Amino acid sequence: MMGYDEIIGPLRQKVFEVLVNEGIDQMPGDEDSLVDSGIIDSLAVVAIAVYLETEYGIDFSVVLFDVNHFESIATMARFVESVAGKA
Amino acid sequence: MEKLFEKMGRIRIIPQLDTYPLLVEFAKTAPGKVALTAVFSLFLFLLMPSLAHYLAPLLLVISLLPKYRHALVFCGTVSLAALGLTWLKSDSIAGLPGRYGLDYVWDGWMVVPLLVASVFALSSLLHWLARTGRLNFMRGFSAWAPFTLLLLFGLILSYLPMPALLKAAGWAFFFFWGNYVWFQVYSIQESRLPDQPSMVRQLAVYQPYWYPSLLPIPKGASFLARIECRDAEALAVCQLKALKLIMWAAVLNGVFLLSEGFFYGESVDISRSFLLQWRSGALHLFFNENYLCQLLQRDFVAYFQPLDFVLKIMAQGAPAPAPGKAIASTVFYFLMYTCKLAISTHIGVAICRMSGFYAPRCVYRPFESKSIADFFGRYYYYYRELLVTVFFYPVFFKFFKKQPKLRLFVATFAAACLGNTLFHLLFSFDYIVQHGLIAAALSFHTFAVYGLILTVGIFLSQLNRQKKPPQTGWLGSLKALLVIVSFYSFATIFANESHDSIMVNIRFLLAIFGIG
Repeated sequence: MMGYDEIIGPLRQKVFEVLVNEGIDQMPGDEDSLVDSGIIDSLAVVAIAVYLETEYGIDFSVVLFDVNHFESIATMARFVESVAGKA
Repeated sequence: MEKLFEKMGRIRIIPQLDTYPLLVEFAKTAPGKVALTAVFSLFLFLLMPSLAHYLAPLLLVISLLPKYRHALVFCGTVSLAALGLTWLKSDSIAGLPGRYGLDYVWDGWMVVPLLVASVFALSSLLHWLARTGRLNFMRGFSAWAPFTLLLLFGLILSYLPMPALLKAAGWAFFFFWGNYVWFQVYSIQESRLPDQPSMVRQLAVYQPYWYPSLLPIPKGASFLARIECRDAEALAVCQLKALKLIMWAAVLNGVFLLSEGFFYGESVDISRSFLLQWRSGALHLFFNENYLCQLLQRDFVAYFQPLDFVLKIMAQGAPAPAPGKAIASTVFYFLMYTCKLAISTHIGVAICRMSGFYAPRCVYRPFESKSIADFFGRYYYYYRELLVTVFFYPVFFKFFKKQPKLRLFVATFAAACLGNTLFHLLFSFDYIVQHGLIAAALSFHTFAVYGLILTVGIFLSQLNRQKKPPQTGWLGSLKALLVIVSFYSFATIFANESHDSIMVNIRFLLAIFGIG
């Protein structure tokens, strides 16, 4: 079972990669709002979700995809910690 | 050149009221709230006179009593619907009994409240079914339950023989249900959230008084709870931003009227155009189908004519316009539509903000978009969110996981074509009643082609986005702008909700290239 600290490092990297693709080159804080604040849109969320599917084997058709889990880097890490390996 | 663009970007037509500390402090006080609501209501009266007299006192009470905000929002929404002040009027269904040979009309005061109450009861039932896991058999597609049932109901009404009164009553219910169906979808979508607001709070934002339309702005009740102002400071800033937004809507409205007057040949009679708008209000104008009738009655002396007008007269046998005029009609129609959308949604979002919810704008700097996919979100944010949440996500996470490109295409198709067409089909109530649901859906083929064009454009744009970041600098922005305006103008030719043959649209497209 992976811990929060192991998950958040690579996740930060992935989020930054997605942001660069969106033309944003500033790294947000772990608790900064990403979706509600409009920093990333719902389609950019998909890119992160695909990464979670591939890296942590999360099946969103089983866990049921919810955009609220992608609100910040920390929210994503907590979500992955709670479901990785279960789904 | 770079610096010039930067400077232009910094020009502000509307002052940054929410950044003035004194003004924020004043807006926190009771006299400040009264003054702010009064100024806001003046703009509201200018833009939406038919509802301003109702909304102004409501907004004042909500501002002064933020503790009772949710109860007041519920009362505001329900009374607006019950009094028939939205476009859900008894007029829309008054003729139904006559259509089935019954010799009376439904125009009593109790018809609308009764239908609204029935739809609310159905919404509560659907939500309960979802909340208690009874829709789980739909496996990730439970949010599709409301419109699937609505379509089944439409099929039964269209093709099953039944007594005239039952049929008329059924269609009346279908019309009202169709107007609330996307709100039900959000309620079910959010039903698995642990902190979902109560059903009463959800019903409070079903066709809310700030934007009574088919499209939920700003999404469902859970989202509204997240953007609610928690303290006096946040409320003051939010309300000042509301004032800024409605002022911006007024500026855009002026630009819209002047442009329409100038390019569509109303330049000699701008005052008439202004009065028309004054009388009906921008929101009403946007949704009112009579708008086309107004256009049809005009004696055009224009440089070119609006695209929908040209397509209408071409369907009646008129020749196609010359290439230059056809291009101008298309591009200008797209720009005007964007402007009109911005005006109506800015008013709605501004009223929502005045009520204490810091909703993001629906149209946000669309022409600064970096790609076709990006534009769709900036130009119609809440609509894109609905399509993505309800159609894109479930399909994307269910099918073709091993084939990334096919997966992306199918999910985009589900949202941009399937969902988009279904959403617009529900506007064609009269046509559905007259011809039946299947015939109405088939006659909507032109719009489905528009959905397909949109699918391909957005799909390619997303693929491109995955490969390389957008170009920066003024040249990159200019290139993106040209691609976006060209693509959406071209697509708009087919975004036609009339039930005429697609051949008209193809003839128009060929006319752009000087063919035919």
